[in-house]
Amino acid sequence: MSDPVLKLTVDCDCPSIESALPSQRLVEVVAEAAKPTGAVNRAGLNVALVIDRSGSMSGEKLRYAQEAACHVLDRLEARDRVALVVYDDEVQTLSPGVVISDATRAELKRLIGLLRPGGTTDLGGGWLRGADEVTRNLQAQTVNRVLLLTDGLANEGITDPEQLARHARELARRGVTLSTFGVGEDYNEFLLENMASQGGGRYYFIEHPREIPGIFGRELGELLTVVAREATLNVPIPAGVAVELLGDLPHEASPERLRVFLRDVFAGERRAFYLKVLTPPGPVDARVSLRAELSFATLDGRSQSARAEAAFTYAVGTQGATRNKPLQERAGEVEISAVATRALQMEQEGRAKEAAAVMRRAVAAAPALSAPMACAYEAQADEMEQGLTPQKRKAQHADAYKKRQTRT
Amino acid sequence: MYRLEELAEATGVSPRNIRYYTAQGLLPAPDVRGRFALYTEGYVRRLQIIQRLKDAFLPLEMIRAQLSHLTDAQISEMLTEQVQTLSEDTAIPQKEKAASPPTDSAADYISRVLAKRSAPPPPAMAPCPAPVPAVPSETWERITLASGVELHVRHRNQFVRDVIAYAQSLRSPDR
Repeated sequence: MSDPVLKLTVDCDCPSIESALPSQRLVEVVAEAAKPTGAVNRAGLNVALVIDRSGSMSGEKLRYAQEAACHVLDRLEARDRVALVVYDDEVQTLSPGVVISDATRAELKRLIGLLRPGGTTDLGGGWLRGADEVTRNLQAQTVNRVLLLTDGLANEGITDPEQLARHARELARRGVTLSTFGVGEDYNEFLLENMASQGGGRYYFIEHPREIPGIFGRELGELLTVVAREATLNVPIPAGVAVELLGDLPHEASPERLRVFLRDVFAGERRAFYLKVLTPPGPVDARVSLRAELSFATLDGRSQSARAEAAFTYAVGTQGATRNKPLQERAGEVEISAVATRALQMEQEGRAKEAAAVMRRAVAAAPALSAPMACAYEAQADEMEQGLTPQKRKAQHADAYKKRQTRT
Repeated sequence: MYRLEELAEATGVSPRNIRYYTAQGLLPAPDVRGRFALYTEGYVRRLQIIQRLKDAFLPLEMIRAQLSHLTDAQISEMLTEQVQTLSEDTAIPQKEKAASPPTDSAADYISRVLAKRSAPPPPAMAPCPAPVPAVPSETWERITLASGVELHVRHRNQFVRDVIAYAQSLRSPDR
């Protein structure tokens, strides 16, 4: 009997809850994929590379994007399909989804080499064309994803960030995920991150164009080692209990349950989620159980699930009970990273003083943060108040994004 | 002490809902001085807790059960134990209500989105409750050129595209 593909563990900051009063507890849910074991029977990829060739991509940005695309082609094999879409204010399908072979690889590289910078940026159009190419070869067993590279603002076609994020979510629900790569200072990091988060993929901040090939390689490396697909975390909510997911992560909530979508999980990946739980009063020695279930599809199409449970027991005088402080700190960091992301958006909109105030209030109200961490976030608040350069804002935003995601 | 309208403004809860919560026993009945009901600071905090428990889909009876025997001090403590989630600030909405599984494919979804973009605006579907005044409407599109800089256009023509391209070239350091 082989090891389970995904493992689920659950922990809490204190297993006893107050009998006479509501209690607030933190629950940590960890999903972990088995590490790669030598020869991996991997899923075929069905991807679309969507590359911005608008005017601002001229110079080394486009050159590195071309290099990245060629690196991707070199790593794909005969079981993979790749489509190539480029866009400025017009969207062009350089190649529909073709199976990789020596001949197709050479032809795609030739087409990539011909790219020249052009006009304005129809980001939405480019992405949707790439997604369309992926849908033409959509299969349950392949990893279906669009990789979208841009350096600019969506200023043609669909420009509304909320619409774009919504489309990303709807396509992810229908099996086509999206990872976004922002290069340089001028793109909208809130837009790209939101599209990737809602789209079930990853967002990457590429500070220098020379990092493009390496970062594309990293994403591709993960896609090549996907071990579970359509992974979903289900947490039924017991009567009288309130559950909140920390970190501003995409999820679905109803009175009866919480669902978090992990989608594709690669070998060795570890993802942590933090829930804030409010329990009602209850009789001493009675229990409240939070049962988490992680359901997913293996590479050969079988449905599997992993389960874990956090149990709380009613007692009297729980204020003095020992707390799992490291867990509280981890949850506190996720929570404050979500605040930081919102504060950064406020600062970007010109509300620097408000952004700093929001950060400082959050630090003051988070007793679980360690002193060095509290200092670091206070310093971040000071920087926000002075106003950030686009580069600094992107770096801070990318940092907060990584901390909210807690993916390794 | 707050009057009803002031309490509503301080908490973002409508006067109608505040009266409803009081009728349902989630809030204690206020003091009445002359014509006005007066609410203490404790009501602000109770309403904050009620909002948060409602956001977590707790039914009103459960909220009432949880809050009915708590003092103002205990409620304050509950609130400060948590990081202010600052629902009043702009936030990218991440919370989604449970959705039924999609009934169409990804390809169909994309076709619908792209068709909407090129189709003329649909005729009004629902009857208007009030007569619409017959003034010609003016729509302007807002195009972001850079952080904090917008261009407002009535029509996207070549001139507009040239301006956008020029703005992009100004931003790019390696031209």
